Amino acid sequence: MTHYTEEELAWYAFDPGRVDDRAAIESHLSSCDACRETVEFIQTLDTALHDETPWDAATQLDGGSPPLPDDLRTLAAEIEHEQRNAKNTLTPLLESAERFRAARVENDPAMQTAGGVRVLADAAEHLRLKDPHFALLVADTAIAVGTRLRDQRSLRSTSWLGDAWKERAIALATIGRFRDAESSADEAEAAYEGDPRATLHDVAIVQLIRANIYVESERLDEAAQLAAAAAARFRSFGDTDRYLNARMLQGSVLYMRRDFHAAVAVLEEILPAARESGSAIVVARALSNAGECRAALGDFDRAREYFAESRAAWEELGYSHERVRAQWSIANILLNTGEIDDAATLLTQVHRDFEALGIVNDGALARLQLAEALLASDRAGEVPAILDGLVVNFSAEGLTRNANMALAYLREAATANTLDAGIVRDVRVYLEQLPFSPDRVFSRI
Amino acid sequence: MLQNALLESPAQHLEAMYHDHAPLLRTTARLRYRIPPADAEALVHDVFASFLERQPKVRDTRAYLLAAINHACKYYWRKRRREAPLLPEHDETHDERSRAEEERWTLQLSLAATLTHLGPKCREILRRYYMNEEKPDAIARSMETTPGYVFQLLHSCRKRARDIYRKLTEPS
Repeated sequence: MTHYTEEELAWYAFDPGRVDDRAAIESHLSSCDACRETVEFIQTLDTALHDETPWDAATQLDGGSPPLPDDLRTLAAEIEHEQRNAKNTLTPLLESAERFRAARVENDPAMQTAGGVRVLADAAEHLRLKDPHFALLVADTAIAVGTRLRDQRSLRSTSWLGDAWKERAIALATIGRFRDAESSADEAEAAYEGDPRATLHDVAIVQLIRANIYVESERLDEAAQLAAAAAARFRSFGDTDRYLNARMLQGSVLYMRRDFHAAVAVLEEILPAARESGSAIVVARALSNAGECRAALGDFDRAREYFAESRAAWEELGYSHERVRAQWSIANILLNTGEIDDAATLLTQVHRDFEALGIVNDGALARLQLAEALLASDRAGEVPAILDGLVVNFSAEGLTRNANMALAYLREAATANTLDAGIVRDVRVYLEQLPFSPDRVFSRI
Repeated sequence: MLQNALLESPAQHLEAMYHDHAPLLRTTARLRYRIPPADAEALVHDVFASFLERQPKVRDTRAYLLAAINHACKYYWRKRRREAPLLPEHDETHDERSRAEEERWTLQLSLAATLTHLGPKCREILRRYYMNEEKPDAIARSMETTPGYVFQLLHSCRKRARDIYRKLTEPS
């Protein structure tokens, strides 16, 4: 298709009666989105110039601006000084959790500043997808330092403590401790509310965290409401990445309501914007979610393409546990399409990778899924070895006890040679739901 | 990212950011929210102080600062609601109507900034044609030139305005 130049379209927009080929231009505009958008942009500016507001505002702007106030310059220098000192101390310690823990950063004088709290919270943010347990450790350190400074009234802005609680909430949600994550989100919100320098952007970030937690806890109405509010705020603050994340969450809510067509429509609408924004994380996540929707619609070919692309994207980003989740999703597709041997091979890799990353509960679920697949394909002999390595770990003692009771039932069935795929599936589903029904004791009717 | 820029050269970066965006924030407070000049100045100061403290990781600094001044202005009037009636633009809701209004103001203020970057000749001819609604023939007579030249001038000034507008509104 040959397009018109902006010059030509500008003449047309100015006065269609003055151009020679009006009919040809209008015919082209009826089928060309790009040229129509250009004309709309030109007409928007032309129309706005008829209004007196831009002219009045321009007159005010002509007055120029007073120079930068000295106190802002001093504040910038102070922040920069604090953060540089804190970064110098912290950077070598972030090589490993062991090294960080041994350094007892919370007592280091270089970190006892508002900037130190900020640098620690930033470090937790950097770590949260790659190593959420380490991120949690760093966020806890930021909270310890920030709380001490706040109590001594030497924390310039309590929002920095809010950032630390926010990072704790995200790390906890990432490792599946949703109740603890929600409590940390409460603390973050309280810190922001008490600080006049916090903005609605900060509040929207906590709304998005909460919405994520509520999606995981299947509190869908609250999640949808918060995600919509957060999306509107991110949009007005020009925060495209988080806006896309909030929209993605709206897609997740639709997915959980089993409205897969609506969900995939949202996600496939987001994907081009995510690619354009250049944010690899948003793209990777949108691909993963679109894959889940396509899988739910039974469109396994498209789903597999999305997961393969998201796996590569996470790999490139270095986010190991997300890469493993994409791999897990591909294994699920293989189970759905009856490619059991290939699925078993992938699930073996998936549980090993999860366990190596310390994500033991997902590792346990992948092991159970593997056992189910093996039992369903007459490879029962391999199952005891899979079950031998089963470990679960929940923050609350009661949860771990209940989970271990379910696993004991499973092992007894294996010893008594009564184990079948149905028993394994029941235990797996029970463990999946345990964080949301912590008092429920496993029983099989 | 701002954070890195702050660490590399905070003073210069802050100076440039203040120079680029403070006038727009000040005009927003005064014109859109009708806030007295001294109070508008204080609000702009607080928005920049908050920006320094928060160091938001956003691509579009200008959009962030505009949203922050909008919120600060709404809060300003909410605190003073006994002194003056609340207007629709003081509402904090995020429905379609308020979003459209937000976008309309952003467009008009960005266009205002565009006009300040245009040369005086372009600004004058655009003002006469669009704002004063003078006919090209009348403009041509007063300029002692032909209507065709006026059309050509309008065309090239609109093009320059669009180029400046795009440059000013692309995420910084």
